[in-house]
Amino acid sequence: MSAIAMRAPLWLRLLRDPRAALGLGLVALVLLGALAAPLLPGAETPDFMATLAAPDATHWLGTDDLGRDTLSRILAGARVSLLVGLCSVGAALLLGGTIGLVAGFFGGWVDMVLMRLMDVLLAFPGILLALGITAALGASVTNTVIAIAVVNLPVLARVARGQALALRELDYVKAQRALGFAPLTILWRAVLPNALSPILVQASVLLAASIITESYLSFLGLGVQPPTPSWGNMLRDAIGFLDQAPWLAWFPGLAIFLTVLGFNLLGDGLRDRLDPRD
Amino acid sequence: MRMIAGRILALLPVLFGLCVLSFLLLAAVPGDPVTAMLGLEADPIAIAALRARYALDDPLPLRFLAWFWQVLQGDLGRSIQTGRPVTAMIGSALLPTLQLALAALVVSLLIAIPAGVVAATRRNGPSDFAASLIALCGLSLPSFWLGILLIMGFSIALPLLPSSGHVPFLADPWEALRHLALPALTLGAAMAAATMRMTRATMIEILSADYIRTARAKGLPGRRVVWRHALRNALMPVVTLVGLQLGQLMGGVVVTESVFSWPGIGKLTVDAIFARDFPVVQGTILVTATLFVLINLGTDLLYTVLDPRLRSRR
Amino acid sequence: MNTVTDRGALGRRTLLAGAVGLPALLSATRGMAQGAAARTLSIGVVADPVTLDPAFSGSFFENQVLYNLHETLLVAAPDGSISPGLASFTQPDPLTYVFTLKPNLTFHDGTVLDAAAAKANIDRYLDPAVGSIRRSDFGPVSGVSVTAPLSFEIKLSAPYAPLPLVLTNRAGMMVSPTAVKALGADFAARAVGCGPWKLASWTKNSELVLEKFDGYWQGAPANFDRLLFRPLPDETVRLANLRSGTLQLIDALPPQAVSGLAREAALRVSQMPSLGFNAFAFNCTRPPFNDVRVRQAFTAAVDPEVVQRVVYFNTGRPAHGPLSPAVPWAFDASLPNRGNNPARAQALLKEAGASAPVPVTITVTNSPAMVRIAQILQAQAGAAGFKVELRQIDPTSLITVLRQRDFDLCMAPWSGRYDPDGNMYAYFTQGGPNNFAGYDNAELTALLNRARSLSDQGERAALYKKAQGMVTEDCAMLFVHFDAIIQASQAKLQWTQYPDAVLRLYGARMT
Repeated sequence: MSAIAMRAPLWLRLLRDPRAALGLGLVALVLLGALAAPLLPGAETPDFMATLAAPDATHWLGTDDLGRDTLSRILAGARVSLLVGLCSVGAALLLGGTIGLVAGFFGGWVDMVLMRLMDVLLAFPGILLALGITAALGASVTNTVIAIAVVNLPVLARVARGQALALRELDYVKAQRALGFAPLTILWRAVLPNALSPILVQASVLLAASIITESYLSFLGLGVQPPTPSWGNMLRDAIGFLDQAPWLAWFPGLAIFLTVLGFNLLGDGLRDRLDPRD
Repeated sequence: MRMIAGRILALLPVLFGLCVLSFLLLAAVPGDPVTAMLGLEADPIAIAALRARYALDDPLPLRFLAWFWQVLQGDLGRSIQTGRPVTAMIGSALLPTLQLALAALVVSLLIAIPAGVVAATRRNGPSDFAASLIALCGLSLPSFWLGILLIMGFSIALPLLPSSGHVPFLADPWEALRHLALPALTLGAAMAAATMRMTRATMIEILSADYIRTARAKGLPGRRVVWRHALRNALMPVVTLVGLQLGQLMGGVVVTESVFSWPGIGKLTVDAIFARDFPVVQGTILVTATLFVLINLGTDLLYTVLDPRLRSRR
Repeated sequence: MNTVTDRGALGRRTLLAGAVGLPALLSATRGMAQGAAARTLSIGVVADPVTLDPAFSGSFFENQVLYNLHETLLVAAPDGSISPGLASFTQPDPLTYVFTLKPNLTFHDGTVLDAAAAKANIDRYLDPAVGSIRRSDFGPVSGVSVTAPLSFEIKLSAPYAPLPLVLTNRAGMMVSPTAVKALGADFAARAVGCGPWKLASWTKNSELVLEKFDGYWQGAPANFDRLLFRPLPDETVRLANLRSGTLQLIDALPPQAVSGLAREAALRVSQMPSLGFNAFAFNCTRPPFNDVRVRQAFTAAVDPEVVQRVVYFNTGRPAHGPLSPAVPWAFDASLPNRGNNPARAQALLKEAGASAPVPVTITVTNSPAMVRIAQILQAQAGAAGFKVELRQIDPTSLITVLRQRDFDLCMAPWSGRYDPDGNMYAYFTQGGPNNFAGYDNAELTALLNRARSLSDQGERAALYKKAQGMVTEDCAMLFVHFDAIIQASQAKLQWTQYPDAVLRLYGARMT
């Protein structure tokens, strides 16, 4: 990390970059929507007399095939998307980060075994792995999180290992070793803090991909279960009515797109600030 | 050379692990190929007979070893559902997938090369911002939604292009292209971001090279220098690197092929998973993963030769 | 649609010309396709066939190809009446059927279809080692013997009235024994039958082409040379292709599209009641639905009329029992709607001793219509004292879930049969193969056994009426809807619709 890069606080530096600022704005918007969801409680209340209503003053984004308010469902869907995204990346961060740091720091057969395992997961096409896991465990929010976490695991492990490998050779870390500190202590105090930023950059990019994966699983019926709305299962409902009610397909897709774009922009901005290589 | 051999040798346990993992995963999903095939109307005796024929009642490790032994002899077995040899099924699915991937590559280049060049020449300016924003938009569009939108637009509202199916190129080139258009656009949009980043970085590198400066110094117009001289030199590495990254596109391929009923390897795999047709699932995953790791290996090796960023860092 | 080479030539020419705008160019191609369409009939179907071998055909949607490629021993008219097909039959005693084949029948590969070939087919269906799923269709059939070059005899171990109807279905399809032997596992993809059309080419998941068979016993199809089946899983896409003229006929039009399409003069929607039912199995073997009052409460809580309106857009009709109006002699229009009565539901639950909302899980596949129905049931039962959760599974898991009774309430739709026995015996007798509910009623079992052994339609109708009363009173299943068969075509295409939804296209023609 260069001295100049450390001067201003991170978020301020991010705001100066128009891409990252736009990303932060979008993410903030989604967060706000998720927080506002309880204000519009109609997400799971069907009204069989008001199905497929076009957008109007009562239902700003119209109603779906069971007469539920689309806006309420979009907002409630934001909670699901963020929850699944954050949990699955968080779990992968904890486990994958640990695996990668341990593998890279200790090297030898530990590295060999752990990374070959990660390679197996990595070689498995991610979407198929997630699909297989949810099909095997049964469809639910928890299992969706598990499935996506497993897909993310090897990616973060590889980044963490790369960091640990590089840091291991630094004089500063070598010195701690020579002083006789326990390996785990060195890992915790010297390696982890310095390895963190590239790992976090990768995590923010994964967050974007994870939200897409969740929506695809729900789209296939293998993710979040109805009547709990998720943008993916809303899209699934919508495709039966492309002729009669096309707006049902517009809004959930737009929500996914803007959220994912937000995280991608943020990830790009973070990369520029934190990862001096790129 | 020794390094390459070592890398390839290291791949073998990974591929073995992959086979074990996909086998276990599919076994853990409720339902088996026989119930998938015989449906609600099946007769228990028929089920038992078919299960016996495919040795589905044997213990799992035994079934795996039997399959694996067959693979070692170069035989991927036959599909339980269709009775066709898995190698033939993969063979006939590979071509449409390659076609789709290639067309998507072309689409992504059409978006990304101009964007990347503009971004590189006006670094950090508003054009750079706009170009990278466009590329990121492509990456952020969920393929299944983009697919639906394209179908809504070009197959339903304006019935110009077919929304599904595949026509072999040799049978009818025009129809083949028409069928290819929407899936290629969907997949290409997702690839554009990576391609654009690559173009931008390569162009920045080349624009600062001595011969470009010389060309400028000699008074050649700036636009000509950028689009003729610099881009020509950037194109080769970009296309090669992006082409190699097709291996990472499997996820996008699976989704795109499902949305557009494109009879490629992705749809074959997904259909086989839903039918619990394990010889097909095992075969497709083994083949695609082998391709994937080999391509990764190739990329790693070529990167050092082609990527200016890596070269300069060494 | 015109031939592949025509379109290719046009495409190349216009591409060379280059200056033509894209939309103009595309519509030119389309106009061409319509103009030269005369000899090929293009059909949009829901799914690509898995197998063309009737012995292993399990998919409902495969029938669209099978019934044009293969020919059955007997033939059923849309009203369910049976007439001779490849063979005519007599029944000298309740345990014997004698079949006489038409003379000079051949398969697509030239193999002669005689009594020995027919016996080989039925033996193949019956052989446990082959593992054909047709085996159960034959019920108590004990054997086949050839009595003359063109005559054979089917022997039963017990009277079995539905046999002639069974032989109008896939179990009656005759395939070439030579081809079965020669092709082995490849027969599934290259089946050889004796129907009006033979297989020309099959590109998996893309198109399947049948061409007319000159040796067909009723004469080669006169109006079309080719049938082209395109698998288009997405209903909106099928419809778009019909509108654009790429297809002349599509299967399974979504109910929500019916009213809009009725206004388009160039297209025609064809509807008729289907033979099957859409219903959910209660798990009668474990709490809470082992208590008949809880089943009755759930039934009272939901309203099939709402499902009919919201999910089916007023097509078909609400179901209150297992027998469809497509079989008028057995259908009971007087069965009451036991639903739409939340007050009664709450009273019944109280009677059953439930103090808190009763938790139940509804299991459905990820089919959008089924998920929609499940959510309606969830809302209505939720308002009447149940606490309902949904579980979506993929279609392949469905049969396992049903067989293992790993559910509280699970979808168990049935495509239906012309004979009421086909809609009731397997579902409601003790140990019946489709008795997913685990419904245990000895009296009903005896009654249904008796009904299948009688041949007088009046007597049978009375028994089935009684059986329907018992099943619905006990709420063995939750009956929801009798779907309509909804198919659409170009208005100029003349064709015959059947209540089993099968497109039999021998006589189809353009006007």
